[in-house]
Amino acid sequence: MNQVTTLMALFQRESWEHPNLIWRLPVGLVILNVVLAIASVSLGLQYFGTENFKFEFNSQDLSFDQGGPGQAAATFFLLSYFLLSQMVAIGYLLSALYEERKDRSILFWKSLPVSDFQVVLSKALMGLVVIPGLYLLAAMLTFMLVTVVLSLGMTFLLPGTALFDGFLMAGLAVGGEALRVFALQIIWGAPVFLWVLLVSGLARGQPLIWAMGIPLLVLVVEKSLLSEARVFDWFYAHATPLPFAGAWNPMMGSASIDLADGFLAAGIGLILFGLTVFGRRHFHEI
Amino acid sequence: MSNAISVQSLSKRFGDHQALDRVSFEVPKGAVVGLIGPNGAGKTTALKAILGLSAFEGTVEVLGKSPRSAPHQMMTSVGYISDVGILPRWLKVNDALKFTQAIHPQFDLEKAHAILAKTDIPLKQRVKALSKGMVTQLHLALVLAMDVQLLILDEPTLGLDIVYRSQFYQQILNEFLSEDRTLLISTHQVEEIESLLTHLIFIDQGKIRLDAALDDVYSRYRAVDVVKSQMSAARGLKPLSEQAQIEGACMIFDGVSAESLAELGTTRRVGIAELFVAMMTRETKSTASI
Amino acid sequence: MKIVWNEKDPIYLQIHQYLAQLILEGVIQEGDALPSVRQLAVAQHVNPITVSKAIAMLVEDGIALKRRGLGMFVAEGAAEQLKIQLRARFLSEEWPSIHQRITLLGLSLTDLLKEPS
Repeated sequence: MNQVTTLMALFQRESWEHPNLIWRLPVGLVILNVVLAIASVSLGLQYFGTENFKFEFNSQDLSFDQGGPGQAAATFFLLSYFLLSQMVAIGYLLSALYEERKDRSILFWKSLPVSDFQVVLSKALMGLVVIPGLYLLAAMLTFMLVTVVLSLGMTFLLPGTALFDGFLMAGLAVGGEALRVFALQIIWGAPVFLWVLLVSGLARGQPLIWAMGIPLLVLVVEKSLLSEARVFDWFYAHATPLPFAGAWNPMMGSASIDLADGFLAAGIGLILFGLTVFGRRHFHEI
Repeated sequence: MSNAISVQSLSKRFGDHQALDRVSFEVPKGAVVGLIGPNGAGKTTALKAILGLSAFEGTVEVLGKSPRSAPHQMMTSVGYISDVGILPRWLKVNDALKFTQAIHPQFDLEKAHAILAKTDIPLKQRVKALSKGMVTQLHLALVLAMDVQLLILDEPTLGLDIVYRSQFYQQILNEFLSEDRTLLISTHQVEEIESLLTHLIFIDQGKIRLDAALDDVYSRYRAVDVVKSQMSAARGLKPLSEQAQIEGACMIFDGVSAESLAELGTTRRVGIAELFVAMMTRETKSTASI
Repeated sequence: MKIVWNEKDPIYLQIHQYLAQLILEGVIQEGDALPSVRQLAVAQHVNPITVSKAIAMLVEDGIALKRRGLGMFVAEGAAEQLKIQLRARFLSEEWPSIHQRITLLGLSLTDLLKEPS
């Protein structure tokens, strides 16, 4: 029994409570996309006839630098799954510490030798890292499988073909960048994600209203007392997923965070985390 | 430490309602303590404070530790079952076992399976599909398999039918009670646990009215079926209560010797429930007369 | 066999009487092991501590003894010992009220010694 096994057990517990959000949805998306790919290729083969459907591809046409179809496909899957995972994660965090208080099951969880710190940590990591990570894996898997389907369908050959290699290279490049965005998003989104988790742990009812209401209140206060709503603007910027927070760059090659801002975000995240642990310890009754 | 639980000057306030007023008591190791009181007496408040589930004033020590600091560590040796159905409805029986095994150092999975095998609980089922009695059975199986030193029960059989209730206490007797294990139970249904108790605590309106070993209670308080001819003599001995019967009355006496009572009628062992009613009614009468 | 509890005597005393009865009747012979504390507690649905008290009383009276590592056993001569103790108890505690009743009902010695039909 150590911290790591306890954390793993807590992650598993989260997946039992929210199987749809955490794994059924990503798995479903993978399957759906692969099925769609198979369907479109089969339809294409049927319609055009196998002879006409066979294409010769120049690997250069499909390479990453040219912004070709491989890169477009990879970007599509990785970005769409990423955005979805952000929304899913927020939805998850909103109920993560609220449901157990609403149905009083928190009394059961607290009767077990697991600390409030461990519980809050597991939920925070679930929302910040695990869910986005699972969706990222799903996106990469989707891209790989779709590539295989397309290669099979359109060239009847697998490795060594231009289509497969080109898409593979594009996928690796986009995937590498996606991994970077994933890592940076953890810090970028920490203030907002952990704010939502805090609200989930303290709200007496309707956590969504509190989660949105208080920042809006801050906006109103700031606008009326000061000229700018600096605090609200900062949070609002951080509520936007990283690729869209700056100038939208389809290459995603320039996703980065200002170092000072990163420390500020991490610091605020830690404070919110600490408050959440304290809240679960002392203010858990609804 | 010889006390499983030590409570000193425990107080808790909700707004302007004093739920607990400087309550002090001790639960020795190996004791089976019945915490008895009407609704709102402060039983649940006291138990929650002991478990570190709520803030409180005063000093509480559980198995040598304070529930204010690291209560989750305390939980390796403490089990808690409450009537407020606290197992999450989405949890599957098997998953509950799996989780507890992963996070509880002493959890004995085989023991849990053995106990569950004697019930009708399907292992693949979710809590929401189980009846209230089964949920309690499951919770008890989990707690017994955790091999705890102290078991705290807050109205665990409330709303259960008699079969489940009797099985529940039989299970406690079979699998839990031993000289180094302690049980603290708060309940309305005193009769079904009376034979298991070693100590008694009466609590009312946030204050302790009685705190004694059961044997001392039986030798101090006696119930007498007083014959008609002895009624005035009996009243002279200042009984705690008087309950009219077909022939004479049933009276409960505090601290009167068996010899003095022998002539009044048939003496018998006082029942906890009737003693409680007698003491509480007296309290109401005396406060009313102020 | 489940003990039928009376409302008068303390539980531990009733358990003591129950065990004494079993020994007197020879259900538990001299030299036999007594049922374990847990067995008795579970069967009679009482706290094991109460059972221990009853057995401790038997030990005190010399009816039972503890064998290191083996448990509780009925002592040699226990049946005889019990008879003496229970005789004394019968004569001092139970007999007087029965005697009173006999006198009240006007029963003669002949009536009493008649075989019940």
